Parts: sequence; C-alpha cells; structure tokens
Amino acid sequence: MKKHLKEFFNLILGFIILLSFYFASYFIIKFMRISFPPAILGLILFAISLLSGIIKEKWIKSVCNLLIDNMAMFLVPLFCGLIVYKSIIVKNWIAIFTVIFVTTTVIIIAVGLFTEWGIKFLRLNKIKELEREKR
Amino acid sequence: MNLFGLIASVLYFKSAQKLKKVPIISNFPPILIAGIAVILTLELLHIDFNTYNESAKYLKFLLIPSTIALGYPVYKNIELLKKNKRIIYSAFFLATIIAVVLTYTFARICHCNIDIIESMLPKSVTAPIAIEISKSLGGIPELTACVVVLTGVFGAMFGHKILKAVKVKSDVAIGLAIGAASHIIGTSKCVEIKNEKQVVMASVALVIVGILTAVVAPLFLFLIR
Repeated sequence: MKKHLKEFFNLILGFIILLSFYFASYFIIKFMRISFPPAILGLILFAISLLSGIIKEKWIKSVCNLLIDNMAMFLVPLFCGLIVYKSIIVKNWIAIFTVIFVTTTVIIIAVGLFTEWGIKFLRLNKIKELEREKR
Repeated sequence: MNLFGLIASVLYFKSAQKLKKVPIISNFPPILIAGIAVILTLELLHIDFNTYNESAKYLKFLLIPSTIALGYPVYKNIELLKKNKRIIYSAFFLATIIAVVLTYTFARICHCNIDIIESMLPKSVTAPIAIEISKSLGGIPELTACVVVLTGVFGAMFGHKILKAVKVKSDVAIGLAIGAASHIIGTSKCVEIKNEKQVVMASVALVIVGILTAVVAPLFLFLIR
C-alpha cells in the first residue's frame, strides 16, 4: 500500500514538473514575442535541466514512461477532429497521399544510405590512421 | 458531465491494442484503428462532434506534457549522440531539409492550398510536436494529425522493406532513417522486432528532427514568400 502511494505521489510530482516547464516556456515566448511552439521549448529546457542535474531522473522517470507509452492514445480525439474537415480531405486526397508516399520514401532512402555510408567512411579512415601509426 | 468521448476513445484504443494477434489488422497501428472506429461510431449513431469533443479534449490536453516528456529519452541516450556525432547530426539536418522542401514542392505541384501545405509541412515529425508547429505556421491541426498518422503508418509498414531493398544494414542507419521519416509510429515497429539499438536511435532521431523542423519550417516559409 505504502509503495503504491509513493508511486502515485511520484507521478503527480513528475506531472507538475512537466507542466511547470510548459508554463515557463509559454511565458518566455510571450515575453520575448517570438513565434515558437512553447511545448517544444519546454522539451529543450527539460532535456537541458535533466542533463545539468537540476532535475533528478527518479522524479520524472515514471511519469515520462507512462506518457510516452500512451502518447498514441492522446491523439485519438485529434484524429477524429477530421470529421469537421472531411471536405478538405475528400477534395485533396490524391495530393495528400502522393506527398506522403513520395516524401517518406525519399527521406527513408536518403537518410539510411547517408548514415550507412558515412559511418563506413569514418571507420575506414580510422583503420587507415591506425595503420599509418603502426608504421 | 458527459464522459462519452473520453471513455469511447480510451476503450477503442485499448481494444485496438489487444488486436495485435489478428493477422492483417496487426499491420495497422492502434491509433488508426481506434480513430476510424470512433469516426464510424459518430457517423453511424449521428452523434455531433462537439458532444464527443466535450470530454475527449481532456485527453488531447495530455499531448502537451507528453511532448515535454520526450526530453527524457534524449537525456537517457546522450552517449549515443556523442558517438559518430558529425554523421548523425548531418543526417538529422538532411532529413529535416528534405522533408520540408520536398513536401512543399510536391504539394505545390499538386496545387494544394497554402493552409493544406502549412498543415503538411511538419508531417514527418511526432504528432504532438507536429501539431504545435502546424499551429504556429497557421495550418489545420486536425489535418496535420491525420497526415502525421498516415506517414507513420506508411513508414512502419514499408520502412524496413525499403531499407532492405537499398541494402542498408547497420542498425544505427536503419533506426535513424525510420525515426526521422516516420516518427513514433515507425519507432514502434522497431520495438516490435526487438532491436534495442534501432529503437534508441529512432527515438532520439524523432525528437531532434522534431525540434529542427520547428525551426526550419517557419524559416523556409518565410524565405520562400
């Protein structure tokens, strides 16, 4: 029982931390009058505070895992919002589908090949350097 | 209070997750099945969308903390970002720029309206980030959500096959490509085939590409006008 209670408080604490990052970035953006999504600034600030140790991993670990595991579920209402925009999709479905198929395929191929060749190239260079040092 | 929307969304999603063992259906992610099921229910029972949204909007609100929570995988895998960093960071940039420029060009060729283009620009980014970007660009968040989900489904279904066809074999490259092109839904495919290295790489890629797109997309639209 005590363990569950502790876990529950941990979740609440983590949730409050995440929300306070959102509000902090919201006010920073409002104050500096730039147009940037506050949640993304919050994400950057959150990662920085974790890395610098201001926020301890154990405070937010359970809430982060819970939210990330269920992220797709939070999308259901937004996906269903499509009903309202049905006419736009029906009118443009060919364009929308072509763009999705073509761009996704190109990105996958380009990034995959680039990374594969890049890593191989770096490795070859390292081996050559080592051989030169041996001589 | 009317809790119909909230309960229906959660119930459909959780049952869609249970369908993993059914052959053909298991190819589609739960979000797609649940979304279509809710839409069909609303249409067939003639329920107004606002009645549904009255309580379902609380579920939508949770997207904000989930976006911020994505900072956690970056923190956990920071060591991976330090290794081969030049290649990895250039790959992130490459993915972002191809996604933005190609989406814009293709949408223009297909004669899309500007608000549709704005909604489609962040399509390779994980949904909560994409929606934020779409809002700040002036797009339609609902359309963005749909396009993002479809992109993810496409990447999850064909990503590994495409990479195999062009003979990409290293796990780092596969994870990076899948994560950068088809975000969290593609990443869930890497989870399914139980390849730890691919999952880690994909989850870092989807966050970094998301952040980069938030900067590059508005800049690109600004330059082109």
